[in-house]
Amino acid sequence: MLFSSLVFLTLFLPLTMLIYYFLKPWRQAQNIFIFLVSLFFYAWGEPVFVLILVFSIFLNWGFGLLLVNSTGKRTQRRIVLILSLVLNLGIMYYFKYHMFTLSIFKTWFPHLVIPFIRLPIGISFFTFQALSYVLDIYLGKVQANRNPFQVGLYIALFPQLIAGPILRYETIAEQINFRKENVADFSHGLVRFIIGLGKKVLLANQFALISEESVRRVSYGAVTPSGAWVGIVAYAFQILFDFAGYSDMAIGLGKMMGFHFPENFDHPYISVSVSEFWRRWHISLGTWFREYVYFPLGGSRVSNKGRVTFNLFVVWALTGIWHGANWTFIVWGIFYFLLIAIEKAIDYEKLLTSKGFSGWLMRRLGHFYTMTAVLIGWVLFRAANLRDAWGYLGVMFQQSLFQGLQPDARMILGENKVFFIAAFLACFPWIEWFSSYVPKTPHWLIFIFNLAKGIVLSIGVLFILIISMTYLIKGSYNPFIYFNF
Amino acid sequence: MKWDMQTALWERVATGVALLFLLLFSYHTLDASQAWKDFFETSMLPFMEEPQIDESTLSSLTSQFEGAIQEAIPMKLSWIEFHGVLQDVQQKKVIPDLNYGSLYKTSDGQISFGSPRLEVEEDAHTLSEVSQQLESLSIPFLYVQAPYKLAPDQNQLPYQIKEYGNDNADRLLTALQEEQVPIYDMREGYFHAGMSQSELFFNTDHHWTIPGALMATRLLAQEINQYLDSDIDSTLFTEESFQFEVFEDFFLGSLGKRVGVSYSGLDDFTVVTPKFDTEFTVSIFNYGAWSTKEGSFSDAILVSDFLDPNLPVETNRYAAYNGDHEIIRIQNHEVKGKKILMIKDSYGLPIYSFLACGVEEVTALDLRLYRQSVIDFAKEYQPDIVLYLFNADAVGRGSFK
Repeated sequence: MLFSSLVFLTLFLPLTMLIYYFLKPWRQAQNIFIFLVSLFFYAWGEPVFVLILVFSIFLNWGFGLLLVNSTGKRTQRRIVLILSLVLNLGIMYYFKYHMFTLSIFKTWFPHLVIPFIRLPIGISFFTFQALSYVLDIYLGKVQANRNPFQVGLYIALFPQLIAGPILRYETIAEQINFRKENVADFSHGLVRFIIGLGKKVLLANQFALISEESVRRVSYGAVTPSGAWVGIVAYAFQILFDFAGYSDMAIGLGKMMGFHFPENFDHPYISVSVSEFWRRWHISLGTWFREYVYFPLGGSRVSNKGRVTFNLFVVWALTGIWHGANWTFIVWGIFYFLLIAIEKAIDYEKLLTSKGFSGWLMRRLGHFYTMTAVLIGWVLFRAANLRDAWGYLGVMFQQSLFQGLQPDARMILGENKVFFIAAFLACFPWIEWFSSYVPKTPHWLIFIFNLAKGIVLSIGVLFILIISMTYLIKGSYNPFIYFNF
Repeated sequence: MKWDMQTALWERVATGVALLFLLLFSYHTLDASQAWKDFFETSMLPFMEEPQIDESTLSSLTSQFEGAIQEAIPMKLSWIEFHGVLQDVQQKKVIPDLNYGSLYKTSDGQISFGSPRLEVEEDAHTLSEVSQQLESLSIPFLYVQAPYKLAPDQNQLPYQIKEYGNDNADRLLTALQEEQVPIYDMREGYFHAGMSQSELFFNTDHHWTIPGALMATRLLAQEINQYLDSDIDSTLFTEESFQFEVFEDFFLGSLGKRVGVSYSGLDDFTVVTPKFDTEFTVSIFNYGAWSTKEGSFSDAILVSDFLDPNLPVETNRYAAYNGDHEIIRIQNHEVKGKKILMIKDSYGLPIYSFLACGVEEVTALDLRLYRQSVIDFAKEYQPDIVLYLFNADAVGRGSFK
């Protein structure tokens, strides 16, 4: 089920919240209810694969208990850990990567038959969460939970089940039993949900149409270089508002039920280095890889520089392949490894901290370089295969690029000017910037600022809700990129 | 701290209003008894009678449920109207749409959709088989390629967006020619007959206008005469022989309904009726029973209920030309000679209505409703010709089975 669907907004959300708050005096009943509702939420889109989710829950609940029972027995604990990694990653491998692996082998064994294996929605997200549960117990960060419903609640919690943020068990273990719902969190959560809905419906869905048309037009040679650039900028907006919008909705829904999820996006397109971009983009995935892959490998606290580079390579190759079984994702991951390795090697981020005009200029140039790199990355990410990506890049860098905006680019920008302006503005943290300029005195001025901000925000949120509903009722294009991962 | 308090206070106000809105919306959606009754009868009952717990059945059930919600939305047309206002304010020419992918405002200011590229081999094979079987019964066959809203030789869509409706039809006709199936491509004659685009097609609907269809009937009659060496009076289907009554701002077509009046505007609707005397018997077969009506063109063929000015503009005025029925038979008591069997889509409504003025009998089958053998029907009916008349957008969609 999509958050940005009428069935969710008109039935699932109101009914779930009503029953959830009706059960408020009974925490265990609330948890069981949310667990069952989460399974229903998943089964709505995946009526059969919900069994895999249930299997994963019981499997990892079992591993948790096995780890508890083998306290003090190092070898036994290691065996349990390895078994859990093999089974969890094995399931994910089968559904996500087996076809891809066979297609590689088919090069040498042409008679190899490749079965069609459909990908269960969100398998990468819930598998990583399930692994986090076992790993956190193994690392001694948390106690195993003996209640399978509570482990199920953590793995299947519907707000973040199919597209994150990827929660680490240690961040949420306490909240399962001891979260506190209150009016402030509920209202902040609903506002956050509506803002996310607006990002998804009003921005991401519109940019999806533009970017898909650009890719189609490139495939039959009917796009100019500036048109291709506008197309990939549209995709950059689409993927940001698609994913960040979904994260906003997930965080908001969690807050409405008293859960506090970590942030997943922090205005990534204002970054002045690729390293910074990845500290702001899909933060929960970066944190997961840092905690469970990069640090265990030694991270950057190893004496050998070659070893640091190797650790980075492993993390970025895995980040690439986590996104999908395709060479495009692997090349995309390695592309970022190269950029980040170079930035580390030349201490690039230190250069950006210089003061005065040179520092300012470095940061502007850094922003330009980062955005160019990110856009090239999105070409790789978006393409069906490396040849298509190369073809698209070829169009983007044709000589006629320097002839200014060509007719197709002008038309796309003209037709969608409102969305481009809104998306551009939404990339910046205006409220934070604005807040830092608010004077401390006099009090009446602060009062007026607060009043104006409150009124603008309230009206803005209601406006976004109504306009989003209008677009949903109209039945517009409503894809969601990260379901595929 | 005060900053946070102010924000939280206003956040609560917004939350209260948003919650109230969502709850009311939810209540009225659930309260739409007809949509839920339809869902229950068409989806739930069959499922409960023969429960099948497999992925496709369950997925189809959830999709149908979501479809029911779309139908149950309170004040749906007002929402769509508001959406149209938003598009108009932005001067947009491409409107995302659930069914069509996108709807476009064409260079002529009309609302249209574009077709994807579709495979036509199966359609060509079906039509070729029909043609051969009719030939073995000594019944002439003619495939008539009616136009659809977008002309083949000009790109009316914004931003040179490529669409394939005419390309699909061209490939079908080429395949049929290779199979030596008789064809008549009406598109060129239709688009070059001296009428403007808005005279040929409704602005807000995908169908041709009634005056356009009259002109198409004249082209078709000429083609039949040439093909059968017959003498249907094609001069009958001219403006001089018919009277035109224009109802201004009278019709919001199926595409207009999807984008709202403020974006698409309203169509005038021209009712075209013969000036000459007519006497018909119209027999209609639906849901296993025949019903009959007798009288002049206006009394027997025209369904004047659809032209009631008191009905909302969303009423399907086009259906005034008597459709869509499983079988409709129009017998003309003023003319002798020629019995035509027409297999058609919705473009056929005004065509069989007008064509019936020039021949003794026209029978039309709608393959969306008529699920039996056309060959068996033709064998029993023994027409002078079997016409397959479909608009270009129907090509590649398995419409001829």
